[in-house]
Amino acid sequence: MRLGFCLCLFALVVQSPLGAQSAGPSDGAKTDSGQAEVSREKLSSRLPELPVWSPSDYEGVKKGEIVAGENFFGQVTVDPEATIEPPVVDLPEDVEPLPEQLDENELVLSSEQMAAYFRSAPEEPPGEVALLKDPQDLLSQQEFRDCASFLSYHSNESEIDIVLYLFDERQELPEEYNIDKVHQVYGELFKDSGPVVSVYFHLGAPNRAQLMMSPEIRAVIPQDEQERALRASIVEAFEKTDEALQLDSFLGELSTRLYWIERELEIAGLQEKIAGAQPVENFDVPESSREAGSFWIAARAGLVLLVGLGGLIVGVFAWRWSLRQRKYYFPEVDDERVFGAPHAAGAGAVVTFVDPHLPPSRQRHQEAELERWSDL
Amino acid sequence: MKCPRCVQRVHSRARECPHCAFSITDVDRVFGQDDVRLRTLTDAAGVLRRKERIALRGRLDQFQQNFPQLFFGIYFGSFKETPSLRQFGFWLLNRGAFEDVDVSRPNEGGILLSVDVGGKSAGITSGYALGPFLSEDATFGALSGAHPYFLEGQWLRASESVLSRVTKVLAKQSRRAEREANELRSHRENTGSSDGGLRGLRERHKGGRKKSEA
Repeated sequence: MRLGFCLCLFALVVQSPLGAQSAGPSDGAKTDSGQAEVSREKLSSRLPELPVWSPSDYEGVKKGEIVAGENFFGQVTVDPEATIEPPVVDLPEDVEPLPEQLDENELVLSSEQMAAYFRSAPEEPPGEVALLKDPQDLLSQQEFRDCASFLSYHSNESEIDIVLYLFDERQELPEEYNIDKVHQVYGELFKDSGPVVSVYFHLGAPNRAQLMMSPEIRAVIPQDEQERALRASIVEAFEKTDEALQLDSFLGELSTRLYWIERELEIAGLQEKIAGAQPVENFDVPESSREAGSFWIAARAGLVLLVGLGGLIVGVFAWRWSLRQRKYYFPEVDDERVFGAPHAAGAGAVVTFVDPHLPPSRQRHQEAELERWSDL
Repeated sequence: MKCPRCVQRVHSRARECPHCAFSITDVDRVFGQDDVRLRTLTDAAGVLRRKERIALRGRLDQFQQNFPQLFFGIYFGSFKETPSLRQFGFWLLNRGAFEDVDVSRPNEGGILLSVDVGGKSAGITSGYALGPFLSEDATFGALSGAHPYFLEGQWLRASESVLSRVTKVLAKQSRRAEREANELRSHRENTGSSDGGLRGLRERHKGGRKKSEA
C-alpha cells in the first residue's frame, strides 16, 4: 500500500513544472533562451534606437570635450511641431435627465392656484384658520402631518398662531397676493383667530421666506424686531440641507422668537386688547400710538426692574440681619475633667506660618513638646 | 481629647496624661497658678492698630450675640522660648479671667485663638462644653483658611477668617444637635418611654432580635 502511494507521488512530481526543471536541464535552457529573445525583440521594437559610440566620441570623452550625460541636464529640445492628442475619456451617461428649463411665465402662480391657498376648507370650524396651506401637495403626507402637528402644538402653547403658506423653490406669486396685502384682502379669514403671523415659505429656498404679523402685533413690536425674527429663522433653516428639515428648523426658531414677542406683548399690557377682537380694518397704526406704546413698555419694564431690584436688596439685607440675630445653642455635656483643668482641655490644632511655599498641612504642628518641659 | 504636651489621645477624666504624665500643675509651674485678668481681645504683641482693634472687638461681640453660651478670645503674644503654643492656650483658658465676658458664660464655653507673632504660629483651644462640637480638624480648617493672612502679617483679616470659619462650624453643629435632640424627643413621645431608643437599638441588633423572636 505504502509502496503504491510513493510511486504515484513520484509520477506526479516528474510531471509537474518543478519536476520538469529538475528532470531535463538542457530542454529547459532552450525554451528559456527562446523566450528571452522574443521578449527582447518586442522591447526593441517599442523603444527608440540607442546611440552608438564612435571612436571619435571615445577620444572626445578622454580629452574632456564631451561630458557623458550632459544632455540630461541641459535644455530639452522640444519639437515645435509635436502634437498631443487628448485622451479619450468614456463618460458615464446621465442617469437623471436635467430638469427642463421652465419658462418664466410658468413659474408665476395663477390666480386660481393662489385662491386655493386662501379658500377656507369646509371642515374648518368657523373662526379657525387652517395653519398649514399646501394645496400643491409639495410636502409628502407624513411631512404634512408632522408640520401641521407642530403648528397645532405651537397654536395651543402660544397666543400667536403661525399660518404657513408653502410654495415651490422658484415659484413666483402674483402681485395681488403680496404678503403685505394678505391681511387686508383676506381679513375675514383671521378676524376671529386672534393675533396671527402669516409666513410664505418656499421649499428649498428658505431665504425667500416672508413674514407678516397681524396689525395688533405690529402695533407693539417694532419692524426691526420682526425682521430679526425672520432672519434668525432663515439662518436656522440653512443649518439643514433637506427641504423638510429646513422647514422644521425655520418653524422651530420662529416659534421661539414668537414666545419672546408674546412676552413683550404681555409686558405692554396689551394682552386684553389682543384677546378682544380688533377690527382688521385698523391696518395702519399711527406712529404716535406706536411711540406711546414703546414708552409705556419701557416705563413698565423699568418699574418692574426697579421693584425687583429693590426687593432683592431688601431680601439680602433681611437675610443678613436674620443671620446676625440668629442664636445658636448647644446642649450641656457631661462634666469630664481632664488633667485637673477646671475649664478647658480641648487642645486644637497649631499651625506655623514660617514658609510661604509650604501648605498649612505641611506646617501643622503635631509633635510632642517634651524637651522644653523636661528642663523645668 | 489630646494631651497638650505629647499630642497623644487621652481618655476622658484622666487626671494626668498616661503617656507623659502631663497635668495642669506642669503649666502652672511655668506660667503661674493664679488667675490672670485679661480681655477677649488681648494684643500683648502690639500688632493691631486702633481701628483694627475696634473692628475685631465688634466681631467678637457679634459672636457672643450669636452664641449666648460661648465666647471667643484672641491673644496676640510674642513668646521667645515657647514652642508650645498648645500648652499656653490650655493654661490661659483655664486660668484666664475674661473681664468683658458675662459670668453666665464660663470658660467652659470659651474658644481661644493664641497667636505667637514672634514664633509665627497660631493655635486654637476650646473649653469642655465644646468638646463634642469643635474637633481638632475643624480648628485646623479654620487656621488653614487664615494661613495666607498670617503669612502676610494681616492679623485682623487672619483673625476674622478664623472667627468666621469657627462660627460656621459651630452654627452647623448647633443645628445638628438641635435636630437630633428633637428627633430623640419625638421618638420618646411616640414610644412613650424614656429608654425606648436604647431598647430599639438593642432590638435591632441581630442577637437581640433572635432572642426576642424566641
